[in-house]
Order: sequence, then C-alpha cells, then structure tokens
Amino acid sequence: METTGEMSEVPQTLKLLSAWPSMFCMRVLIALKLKRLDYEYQEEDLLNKSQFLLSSNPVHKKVPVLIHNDKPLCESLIIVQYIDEVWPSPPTRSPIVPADPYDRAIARFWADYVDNKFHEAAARLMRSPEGELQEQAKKDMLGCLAVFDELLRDLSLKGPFFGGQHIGLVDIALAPYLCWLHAFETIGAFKLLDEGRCPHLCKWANDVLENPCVKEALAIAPAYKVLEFTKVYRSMALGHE
Amino acid sequence: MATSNKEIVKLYSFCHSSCSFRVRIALAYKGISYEYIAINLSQGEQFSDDFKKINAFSTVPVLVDNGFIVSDSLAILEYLEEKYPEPSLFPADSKKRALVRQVVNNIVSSIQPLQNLNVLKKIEALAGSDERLKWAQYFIENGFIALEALLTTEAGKCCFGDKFSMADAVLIPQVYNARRFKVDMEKFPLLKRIAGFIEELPFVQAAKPEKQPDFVPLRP
Repeated sequence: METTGEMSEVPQTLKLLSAWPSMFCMRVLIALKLKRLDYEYQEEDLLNKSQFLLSSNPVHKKVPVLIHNDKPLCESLIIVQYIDEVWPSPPTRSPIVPADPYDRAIARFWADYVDNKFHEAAARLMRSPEGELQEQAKKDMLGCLAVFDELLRDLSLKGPFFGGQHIGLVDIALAPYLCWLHAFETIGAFKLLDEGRCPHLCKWANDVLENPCVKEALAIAPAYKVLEFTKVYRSMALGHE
Repeated sequence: MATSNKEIVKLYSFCHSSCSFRVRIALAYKGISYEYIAINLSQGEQFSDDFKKINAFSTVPVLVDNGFIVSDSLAILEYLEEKYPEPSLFPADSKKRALVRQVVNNIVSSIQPLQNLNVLKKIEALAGSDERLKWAQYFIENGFIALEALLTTEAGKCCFGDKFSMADAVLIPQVYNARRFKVDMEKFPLLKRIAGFIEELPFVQAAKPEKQPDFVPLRP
C-alpha cells in the first residue's frame, strides 16, 4: 500500500487484456493482486482477437497487455517488473524484483530460464505428436524441474519462496504452470512433478499455492478446464502439420 | 478508477513494548505503511486524558485504521490478517493453524502477562527487587520449556516450517523480553536458533525497538 503524500493523486487506470488459459496473463494478475491494485479485466478470444488488442500490441498481437493510463505494455515479465517499479513495496516487504543488483540479475536469469527453457519445452510437448519429438520434450521438461528443485535446495533462501519470505519474480514466473500440470501430464502420459524426484519443488508448489494472490490469479484456469483447452489446441496444432 | 487507496493507518506504540513489537512486525511483513505515534509507558503517557479517549484500557499497541480504533495486540493481528490476507501469517492447513494459535496464545496469555510491568511492580512491592527478577525469569523459562518441546517437531527456519507465521511474530518480542530479564537462552537451543533467523528478516529488523522513532536505551 502506498504512503499518501500531501499532493492529490492523479487518478490511474489499469486494464488487463488477458486470456484465461494463459500462464503469462496469470503472472500479471498475481503481480496486480500482490500490489493490491484496482484494474479492469478484459477477456480476449484468441481466435477472434479484438481490434483493441491488435492495436495495443501490433508487434506480437498477444496477451497479456496491460494498459496503464492508456499506454500499453507487453510481455509478461516486462509488465510484472514495470508494476513492481511503478508501485514499489514498502522497504520492509521484499520487492518482486530484488533491490540488490546481483540478486536482481540472478532472479532475471531464472525468470528467463522459465521462458526460454521450460516454456519452450512445454510448447514442444503441446505441439508434438506422440513419438520421438514428444519424448524429447518430456525429457527436457523433467530436466528443467530437476534444475529448479536443486536451485531450491542449494540457495540459502530466506524462506519457502525463490523470493524468500515474500513471493518474487521467479515464483511469479513459474507458479502459473501449476495450473497446466494436469494437462501436461495427461498429454504426455507421464508424472511431471514427482515428490520423489523433486521434493523441494513440490513443497514450493504447496507454499506458493497457499498465497491468496496466487490462489486468486490461478483460479481463472482450473486444471480440468486447462486440459479441455489443450486438447482442442493440440488437435488444431497437429491438424496443421 | 483509483489504483491506490488513501488509507491512513496509525499505530500507538512504545518502542520497548513487546505487544507493540508484535504488531509492528505484522505491519512490516504485510508491507503496510503507518504513522508511528509514541506513547512513553515509562513516563506514564498512557494515562493522559487524550490517550484514554483513544483507549480506555491505557495500553499499547492501538491501531487506528481510517478512524477505526482497535487495541489489544492479538485482536489487531487478527484484524490485519483478515484485512490484508497476503502475505498470510498463518499456514493453510487447519491443524497447523491450530498449532500456530496454540503457540501464540501460550505466549500472549501465559507468559507475557505474568512478566508485565504492572505485575512485576506488585511483586517488587510485596517481595523485593530480587524476587521481581526471579519471578519474570521463572514464568518465561516455564513457558519456553514447553515451547521448545512443541516446536521440535514443527520448526524449520521458522517456528512452523520455513514460512514466517504469527507464532514467529509473537515469539521474537518474547525472546527480547527473555534477554532483558537475563534468561539463559542456551537452555533453549531451538528457540534461540529460530529467534536468530527471524530477527535478521528485514521486516523484523524494521520493527525492532532500536529502530523506532521513540527509541531510548532501557535503564540497566
């Protein structure tokens, strides 16, 4: 919550263009809720994108887009970091993005890893028919989770989250995939997050899902609904090959 | 629509009051900014007419949230937890929540009140200053023995696992009191370890007596 100054505050508007299955949109939702911000939520049909979305994100034509006082922002991790900067947490509460430059670089490294390694492999799982390509995607996803499990074990973390006692950038980057777990495991017919192999990550998952902001954000994408969605998505993706 | 609410939160507090310390920790943990209003208990400021209008009990802490007044540290903690559920001071599991409450209530009902200033003054009047110190030490140690045993199966970095909870917020001020009354913390290695970890967390550091605007060192 912001401290109030003597100046009157300029009214701010926030509008989020989002699609409920999108883990990228859920990241932004988590950040908005953590900062206790008021925002308008606009659901986009990704098969029939609104003109407003297309004009707000002409380069990628993707969600999420956060419109802050009529100015659009795109790319989920960029939006999350923007939110943290514009609405900074009081100094007693860890910011989403670490204040220390080295810690900040490390957090950004791992957030980047979620996108470029884990998400990339997950996308391959979604797009590949059963066979060698899918097996490789599964192997790569399992490899990523093993890395995260080790990270949780080795880092002298100040708490249960990658961000310590408070949810941080890496937690926000990774948490929405928990909605997709059931879908990944069903499509690939495998156990992706296994307590035996990744005990620390399983514990992290329990802790992060207990966070009220994460719980609320992820509630837009219940597991069964995501699975239905991915089946449709997959049949379209495989149909195009 | 507004994206920030103009919330005015005030806290009436005394730097050395362990009850105020609990609430300062919770406010810092939840990232709630507030105006600090010092009430010097050593100077009897809690008995002023002005303060009695705020709180007829003449105690600190008192939270004033946009005009709404609530006193009693536990009532304030529960209010803050309900109004600002993130980050939570409780685990999600109902059994763990019950144990957190058990620890909290043990300290706020069965340890701290027995070594409260008013009680100690009476003991000193009845039995002298040596007995005053022994009395405080006895009730703190008695409580700590039981806590040490309970938390053996629950503690990680914090009282309950690795996640900060209300138990930690209430324990560390009590450990401060223990040090003040020269309780030997070596007798309670688990509580000592937990306290050592908790007091380094940034939101606990910000809440410490020595960081408050009204800090003066305690008389030895």
